[in-house]
Amino acid sequence: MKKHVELFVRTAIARGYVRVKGQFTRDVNWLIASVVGGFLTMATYVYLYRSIQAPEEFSAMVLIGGFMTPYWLNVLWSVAVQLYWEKEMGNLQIIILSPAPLSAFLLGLTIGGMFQSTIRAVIILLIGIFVFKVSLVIYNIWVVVVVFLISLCALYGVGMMFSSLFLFYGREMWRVASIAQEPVSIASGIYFPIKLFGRVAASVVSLIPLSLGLDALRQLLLKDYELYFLNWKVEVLILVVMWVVFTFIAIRLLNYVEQIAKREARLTLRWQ
Amino acid sequence: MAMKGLIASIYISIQVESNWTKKFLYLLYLFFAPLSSILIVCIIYGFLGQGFNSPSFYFALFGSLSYFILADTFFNTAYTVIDDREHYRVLKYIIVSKTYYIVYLLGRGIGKFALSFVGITLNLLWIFPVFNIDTHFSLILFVISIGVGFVGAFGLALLFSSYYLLAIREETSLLDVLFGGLYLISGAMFSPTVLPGILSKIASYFPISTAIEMTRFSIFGGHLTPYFQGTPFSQFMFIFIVSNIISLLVGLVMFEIALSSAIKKGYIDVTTAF
Repeated sequence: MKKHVELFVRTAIARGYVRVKGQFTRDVNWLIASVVGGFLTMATYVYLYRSIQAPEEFSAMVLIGGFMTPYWLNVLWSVAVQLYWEKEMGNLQIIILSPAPLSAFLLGLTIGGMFQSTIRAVIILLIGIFVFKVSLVIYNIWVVVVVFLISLCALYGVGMMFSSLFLFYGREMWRVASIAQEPVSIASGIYFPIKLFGRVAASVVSLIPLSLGLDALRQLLLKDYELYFLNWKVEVLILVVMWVVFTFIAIRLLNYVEQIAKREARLTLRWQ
Repeated sequence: MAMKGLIASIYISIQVESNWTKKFLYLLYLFFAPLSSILIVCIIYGFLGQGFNSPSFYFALFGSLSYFILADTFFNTAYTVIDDREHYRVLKYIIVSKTYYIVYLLGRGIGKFALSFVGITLNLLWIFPVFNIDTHFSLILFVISIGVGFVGAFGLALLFSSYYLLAIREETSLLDVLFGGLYLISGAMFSPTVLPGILSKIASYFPISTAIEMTRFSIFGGHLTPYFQGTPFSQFMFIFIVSNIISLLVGLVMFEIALSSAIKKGYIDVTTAF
């Protein structure tokens, strides 16, 4: 048992370490580019709201949405698609054959990805506050941090779940991901509150953890914010349930993938 | 030979984009692809702005649709170098073949452009009746705007393809910056006149921005916002054509320089396990 736990932890650390270390050595230009690109996209929507003379609150909403966008992109392109990419590079079969559990590998990816995204998200937020003179209020920093972390855990649970699906369906899922990226960003309320969709539609899009997480954070960070869907405490509870459910499904799917790979020699070979 | 190569590359472009699924499903994919752009315009301008009958809504709607075609063409054509070198590993074979690589890229761009255009057309079939849009459509001007717009987008694609030929890593970070920057100054979602000083000036002369505005002009017979309003049509047309032609010329020159440099340095078959 102790050996299994040690192997799990060492695998997770090893996979996460690459992403953490890479930020400051190999991937510095990628970091700068994604921060600049993310900021420019956020700026588009800030200027858009200013062009239609929307209240300044909407600029703050876009800012918080822009803060969470790197996490969503990281979940989609660095967690959900990761196993597919490992297969295309020829690494997946080696990973499967090793004694390291696949779930530890994905956990390391997740933690490393969170670290990567946090650097980007914080820089984008700070630049946005400075350039657009947006003010946020923090009544209790620890509540904000806990809500934020729970939102992330639920969101990355979705990513881990989809990583198995991407492996099953390969190129088709990659296409679906690229076409789904923008609609999910819109539906999640990155650019505007989900309350605008109406109660029924907002309930449906709430299945995306990002939408509830954003709604909760906006309630905690914007003064006199009234465009919320549900009270943030209810949203946090729902996010905790989502986190548990998605993580459970992700682990079951990953175990199934490992079984198919080892028993039937499917899914892990390049161009299969 | 050039025509044969062009037709072959158009065919390859369509196949690369579509052969991952059945043709009917791909048609559905084409239909749904631009919907996110349409949706966001509807929500922001329709519910938060001045409603579905306002000039600003039409401005953003048709701006987004035009942007979708031109940006899709630009990004996908520029990325072709990485696709061919890293994923399909055929770049060196294409270069040593009798087809000029620029002709091949042109074919890939035309194929992508055609597919995006089909997607937009499918959506226009429901947009016009649902939103009850009145237009003063000029077919000739529309064809000119789309054609010259493609030229400008292709020129930009060549410029960034030249960068990718010399960057021997699957370097997609530049695309992140381009995507955000292009969206900001394109004038697709809002009039660039609200941008601060220098950005507004850049947007006035940027090829894709002028192409999008010309497309809107061809559909509505006038400018819908202060962007280019007050500018004589001849001056507007001059800026539009010259900016896109310059984009093509700069792209061609830079691409030729980059391609010969990449061949000399042996970059055309370098792959990255990254």
